[in-house]
Amino acid sequence: MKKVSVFLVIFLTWVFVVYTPAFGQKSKFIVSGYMDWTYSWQKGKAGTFDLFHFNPIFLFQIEDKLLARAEVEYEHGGGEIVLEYAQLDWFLHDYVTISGGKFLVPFGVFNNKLHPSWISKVPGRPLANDQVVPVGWSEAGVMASGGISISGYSKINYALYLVNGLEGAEGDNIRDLRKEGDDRDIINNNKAVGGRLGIVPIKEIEIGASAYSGKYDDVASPKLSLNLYGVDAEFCYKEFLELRGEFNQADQEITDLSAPDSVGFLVKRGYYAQAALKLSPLAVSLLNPVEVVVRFSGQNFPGKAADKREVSPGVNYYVTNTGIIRLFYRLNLEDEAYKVKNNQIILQYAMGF
Amino acid sequence: MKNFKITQKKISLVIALTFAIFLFITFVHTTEVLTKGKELTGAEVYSANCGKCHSERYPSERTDDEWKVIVNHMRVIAGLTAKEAKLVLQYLQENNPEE
Repeated sequence: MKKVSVFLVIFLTWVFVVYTPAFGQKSKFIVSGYMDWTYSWQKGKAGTFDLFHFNPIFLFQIEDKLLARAEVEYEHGGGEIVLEYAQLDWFLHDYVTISGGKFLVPFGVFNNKLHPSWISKVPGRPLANDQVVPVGWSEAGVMASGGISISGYSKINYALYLVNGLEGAEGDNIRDLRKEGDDRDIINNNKAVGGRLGIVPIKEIEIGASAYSGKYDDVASPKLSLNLYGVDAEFCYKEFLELRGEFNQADQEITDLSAPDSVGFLVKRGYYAQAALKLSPLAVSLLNPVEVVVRFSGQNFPGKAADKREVSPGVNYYVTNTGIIRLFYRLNLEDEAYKVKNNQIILQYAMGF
Repeated sequence: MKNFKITQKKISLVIALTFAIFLFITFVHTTEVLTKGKELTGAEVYSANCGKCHSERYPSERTDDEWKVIVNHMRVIAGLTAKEAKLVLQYLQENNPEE
């Protein structure tokens, strides 16, 4: 990994030397972002309002080829404040953008494209993007990404990254391996690599495959590997029908199984499928802003205690193009022996700005 | 050197990859035949890419200069090609009544 780091330093220096003379135009700064508030009700518990997100995004076009951007996340009315990402994007070539800093990991599409509440069609995360692949998941490192046109709508897009990587106790929940408060490696100095390849064969379809590989145990010489694999697919027809899904798998190495000296993997799988249909083609003015959505997601972990499924049917009402009122019923299904009463009714107003 | 074992899983993976590549080539070839000679407009690129994730943003929502910054931001997030980004920006700026 040291060789890779040396190569990166040399490469970035070269890029800087070659492209610096091209800079020198006026810079521009704008603020964007999103927010949402939610009222959720669960049987046996007090219903509660929650200013779940207030996430301003700062965009600073330094030069034509250089963009700085950052998102600050205020969750639960400011109870949790996190720098979601802060990165420099260097538009090096038509096919290559180099990003450095702390960025959202492009694993699948939910983490870096769909998770903002005004974009996500359903309140809350699908189970595939919680304990298997964490969301929001950002890492400090460097990334190369871009898109290459083939013909008409056909294209390929890609992202390759080298990051500090997930780190924590052996066998821990993957979600808890994120470094939220401090993006530096703590003890484990192993770097992780990953990427996503997306293929758009025709206008309506995109298929993607993602992978991530690193060592996650928080010791000076880490040994335990964590490999993530995922596939994602979407079908969008004329802006009123959207079908999408993701399947993610985590192979998390552990050594302390009950048998002495044994080595094995905790295999964690998650998936979701989502269908959204806008009623605007019916040309009934009352139904024009209405969208009917259903999401089905699940997770399968070793043992049955953590196995879950979720079905969320609901309705989105577009008050404006970026302001949406959502009403959903989240049906949470556990294995028979571990059933709990935790179904929820969720009312949400989400806004992009 | 480690022994390379051919397992059923590896064979399945190779078959799946071959099938995926074949499927992709078929799709690309079909698309090429259908779209031969047709250059996409900014409106078509905008509709095909931006509308996949979020509802339409109106050209009047931002100034021409601001759209430039936002399109660069989205180029990285959405994996737009440089040509697509240029066409989307052109569409937003040309249809911006405020400018």
